[in-house]
Amino acid sequence: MSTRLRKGQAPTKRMAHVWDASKCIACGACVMACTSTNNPDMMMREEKGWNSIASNIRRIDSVSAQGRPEVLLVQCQHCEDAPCLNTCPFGATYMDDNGMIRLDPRMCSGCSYCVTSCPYNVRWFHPDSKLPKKCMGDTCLELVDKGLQPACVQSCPAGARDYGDLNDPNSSVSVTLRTKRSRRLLENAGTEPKYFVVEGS
Amino acid sequence: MKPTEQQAISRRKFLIGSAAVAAGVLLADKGWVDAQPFFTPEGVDVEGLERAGYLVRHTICHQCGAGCGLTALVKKDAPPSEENMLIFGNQHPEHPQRGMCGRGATAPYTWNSPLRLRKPLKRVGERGEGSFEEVSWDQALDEIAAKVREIVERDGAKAMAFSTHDYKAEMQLLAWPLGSPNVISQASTCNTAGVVGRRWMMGSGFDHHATIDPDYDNIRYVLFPGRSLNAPIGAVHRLAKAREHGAKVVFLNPAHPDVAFANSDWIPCVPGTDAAFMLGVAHVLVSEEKYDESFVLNQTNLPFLLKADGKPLTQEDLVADGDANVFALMSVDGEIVFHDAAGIQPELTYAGTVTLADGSDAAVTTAWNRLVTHLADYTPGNAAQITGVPAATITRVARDLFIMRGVVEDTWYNTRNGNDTDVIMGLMTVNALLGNLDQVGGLGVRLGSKLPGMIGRASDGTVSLITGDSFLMEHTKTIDKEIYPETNATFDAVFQGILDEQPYPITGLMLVGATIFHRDPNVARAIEAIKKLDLLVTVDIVHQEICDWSDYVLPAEMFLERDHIKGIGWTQGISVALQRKVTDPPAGVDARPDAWIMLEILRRAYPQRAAMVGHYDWMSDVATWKNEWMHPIEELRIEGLANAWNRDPAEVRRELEENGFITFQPKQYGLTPYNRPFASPSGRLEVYAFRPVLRGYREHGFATYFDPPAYTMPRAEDEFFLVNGKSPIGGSGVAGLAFPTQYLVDNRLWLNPADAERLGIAMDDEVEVEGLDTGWKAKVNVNVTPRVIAGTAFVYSYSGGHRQKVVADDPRFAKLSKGLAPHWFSKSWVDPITGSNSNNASVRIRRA
Repeated sequence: MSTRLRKGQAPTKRMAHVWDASKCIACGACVMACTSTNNPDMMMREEKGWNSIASNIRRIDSVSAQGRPEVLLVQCQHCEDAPCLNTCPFGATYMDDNGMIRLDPRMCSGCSYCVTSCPYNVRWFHPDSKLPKKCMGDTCLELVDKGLQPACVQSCPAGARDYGDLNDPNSSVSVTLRTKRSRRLLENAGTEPKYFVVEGS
Repeated sequence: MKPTEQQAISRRKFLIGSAAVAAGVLLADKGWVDAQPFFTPEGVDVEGLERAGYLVRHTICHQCGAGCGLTALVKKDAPPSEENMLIFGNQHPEHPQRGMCGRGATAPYTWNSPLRLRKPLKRVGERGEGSFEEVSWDQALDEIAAKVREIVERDGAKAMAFSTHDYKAEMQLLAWPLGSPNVISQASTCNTAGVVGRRWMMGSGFDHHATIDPDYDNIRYVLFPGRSLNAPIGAVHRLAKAREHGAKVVFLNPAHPDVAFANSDWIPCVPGTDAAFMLGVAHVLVSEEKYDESFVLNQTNLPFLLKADGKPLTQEDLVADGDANVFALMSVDGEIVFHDAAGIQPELTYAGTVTLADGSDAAVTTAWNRLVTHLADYTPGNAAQITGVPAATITRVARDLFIMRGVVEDTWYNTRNGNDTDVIMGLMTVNALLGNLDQVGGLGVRLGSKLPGMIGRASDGTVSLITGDSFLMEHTKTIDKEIYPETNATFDAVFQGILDEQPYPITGLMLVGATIFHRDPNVARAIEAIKKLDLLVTVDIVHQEICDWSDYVLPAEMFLERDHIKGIGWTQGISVALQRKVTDPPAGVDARPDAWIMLEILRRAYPQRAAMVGHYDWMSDVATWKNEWMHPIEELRIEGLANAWNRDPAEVRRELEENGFITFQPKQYGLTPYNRPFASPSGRLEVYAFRPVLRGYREHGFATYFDPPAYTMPRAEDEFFLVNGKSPIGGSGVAGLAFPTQYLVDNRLWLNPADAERLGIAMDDEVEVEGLDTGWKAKVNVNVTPRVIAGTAFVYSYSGGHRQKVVADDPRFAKLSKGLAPHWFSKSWVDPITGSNSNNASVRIRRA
């Protein structure tokens, strides 16, 4: 079971998501698996903030500078210098010793500072609890606490997702990031995100 | 993998590694703590699970027609609910189509959807109004049976027509004993062009869209003309692996397919011009001598001699009492030889004169020479003018295909523009020149599974069930084949029968899983036809738009609720899969099996005819019927399958239940056509198709480009081609109505930025779309995106424009009513020979 870090403590692991855009076929299986795994009560309900299903993953369509159509899957970046953590007035948002940004619902007032401070706009409000939700959801946290893969990684039929420890040079994510060209989102925002996008050729 | 190793894995380890443990944790999270210990990194203890009160059920996904392998875990003795079952992709590493895609992921959303049909419905308002009363199964079936009997006795049995996407055999159980041959599927709006094109070039048995497929495991270069490859998921998965190994993947399409996001090249082309592209590629291959000469000489009919009238020179032409089905070639020794002789060494470029049996001389030339002349019109420059693809790109694709020993995929859904059969012929011409058939990394030909069907009909009209029951049918020719001689199924002929009463009247129609308004072009005409029917019955899972127009709507079992065995398509080896019942329908859903529904209507109309197919009044109880009729038939099919492969039926049954599938034979390369000839007249891959020439359908047998005849060509600056395609999430009749589809599938109209700027249209603006041929007008929001070529508009099919009342009345599904159904605008042009219909259209677009 992971533990909450105190101020000044460094995580023992730096767990990171890798999304390989060169493999993703935009089939939506991860988006739906996230909902049915983490928020089954929301399977037939709209997430009104994003005007979408209640998933912790958002799809954004865009165009590259060269005019090539692109799709981007965005979720919590588990930033090493997370604005949401710094702006939370109640200490509800915290980093655990895996380097994951988590929420303690017992301490959350639903003030939404974390939602508005996130430069990636990846948090949403549960319409009943009025508390913010994001990656990882409760069930996925159970999975990763046991050293397993989250739902999005398991459900991907194209092998486009991975999750692992950046501190372990032999982890699959470390190997991927060493051998393939990747980028982080809003690199210059100073958030030090741990969500990596492997780029296609 | 050796059979013994596979068996060892299958019993205990259908999941392996972290996936197994993860599934266990998911179970625990759902309150299934007792099940968790059986999920370990070493595998899953199926027997332990079953002892502890859990069922493991492998099944076949049916959220679309691809049939991928799923696995479900279900609590024994618990009421059916989402909480009591967990569905995920079959994880067996040897399963040829294992996994769950975006469409499969909608299955749990469909099972207990608010749109699920729950009781038999009888129309109480006007057709199209969507007003129904719930009635009992007995009332619905009795009233339908009485109406069927009235139609049969008044208009004749042929006046009853039937249509379906996937349940043809079930419908034949009712139609054939009635005496109606008219079970006509949706093929003409899906695959007819490809089926006919392949049949013309390779013959029956090699024409099905799931028979020939790239060898993805070893592919080096694959070009997909018009196919988006969202399914089946095994092919998607293997293609992803191929990309990792450096395979080049290229899509030719007016709109950018979602799968092309994954490190693929997208070549945008003008709609309806794929044949010109293929012939441009063929031109480069021939002019630069980049073709497989041995394959061309020995496996194609390009060395065969043609007469001046375009017909092949035959033995009958040359020898008294010669055979018209034996074709002539010129040997390198300068002697005429016949194609059925052994050891032929043909001359590829012969042109000259031969003396015929009647003593006259005739000029002949090889098909190769004719091809070279034919391709002169398709220089890369000329093809570029037609397709909008730069000549350099066409040349590069041709060279890459040759250098990398690539293949062109032969498509699935291809009925778009009215000139689509020539697209298939064009791409198979390229494949013939590349000569990469049935080789490692080539275009593989799959052999049949030998799985016997439930019901079949011989050419003399004798209908036989696998049980041994049989009877004779008087009329066996379907109405579409009376109009379109080469079709595999053209439903438009039923509309002609209803509206024009030609060649004879159709007055009753039954549909099973047939989303007419999102399947058949020209919705206004469909409505006109439906209004004229005396009886329309729809059997489905969810409330489709066609239900609102039906006299009776009957709820059918979903794939999660049924047992069935079927072959696996789009594979290299020969595999069969078992669809096992996972759960009962949810509370409040009184769904019945499709076959039982058909048989009960038959029994209530004509009990003695029901007896001809082994169905009796004591089978009116569904449970009894399943035990006494359905299960014995499935067992007989398994027995027939086992016998065909010299296996023990009990062992086959056990393996199917344990793994969900059996691969009876892995891929054997180099078989077709090298050691097993095609079923074409020559036994070869006929680049010059003899069949349409000999039957007088065509003047010559080559693929040709001509402007799409299916719609008025767009000319003015506000006129566009309207094309459509399937999304990987909502791209089927069932998945299109799933809750997530309305959020995850874009139901706006795509326009290229250059077109939007010219018309002063910005992102999300509302525009009015008007069909140039149908006059249908609709409003829709616009997505301005480079994902569609200039001059063309695109919408996803199935994912918008749902107009049924239950959708409009339920705010949770309101978004499904937005967007367009492309068939509002397509006029239903049907090729007079092939019977292939066309889904694309042309429209005028203005700011609303």
